[in-house]
Amino acid sequence: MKVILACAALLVSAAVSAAPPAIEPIEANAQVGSGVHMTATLATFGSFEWKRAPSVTRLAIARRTVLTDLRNGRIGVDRAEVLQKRADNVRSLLDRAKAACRQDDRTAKCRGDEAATERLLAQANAELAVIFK
Amino acid sequence: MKIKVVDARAIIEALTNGIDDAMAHGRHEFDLTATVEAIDDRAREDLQKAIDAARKAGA
Repeated sequence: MKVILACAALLVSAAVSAAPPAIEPIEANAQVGSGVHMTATLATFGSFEWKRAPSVTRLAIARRTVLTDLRNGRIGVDRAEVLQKRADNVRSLLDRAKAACRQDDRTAKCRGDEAATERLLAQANAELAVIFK
Repeated sequence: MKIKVVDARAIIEALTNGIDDAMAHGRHEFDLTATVEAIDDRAREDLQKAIDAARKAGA
């Protein structure tokens, strides 16, 4: 009987160790320590807000790069002006995507035209890739 | 879910800025969209100032 129980225990422990690690809800971890603000932010991971935020930040990085290049004389003022206008165009596309999405703050889902949102985001990212070249 | 390194860096930067700003103002949360937009607004303003200064210097 003891052997059977030991075997059963081994089987159970093997099954437990073979099972994929349980995914802890982000909210549970976020309540530990000072990460309260992370609950609201990470809960919407994969939402439109998370898709758009990197593009807006990359745009800011692109502008900073142009600024550095201008200050260091690597590009002229005309080129810098052209890139600033292109960056403004990207920002306009990103703002239009935000308007088209009309994200629900509670569910983090688009309530508006999702197809238009995706199209505008893709257009903005394509333009951004050109500026980054 | 795969994520581009450049996007991951951008997210980290945006989050760091948001967290720093929230902590500096004693807040427990921040708006990601508003945070990244403010970063771009500042970058735009700085670049425009540099363009205007370069134009003025060249004139």
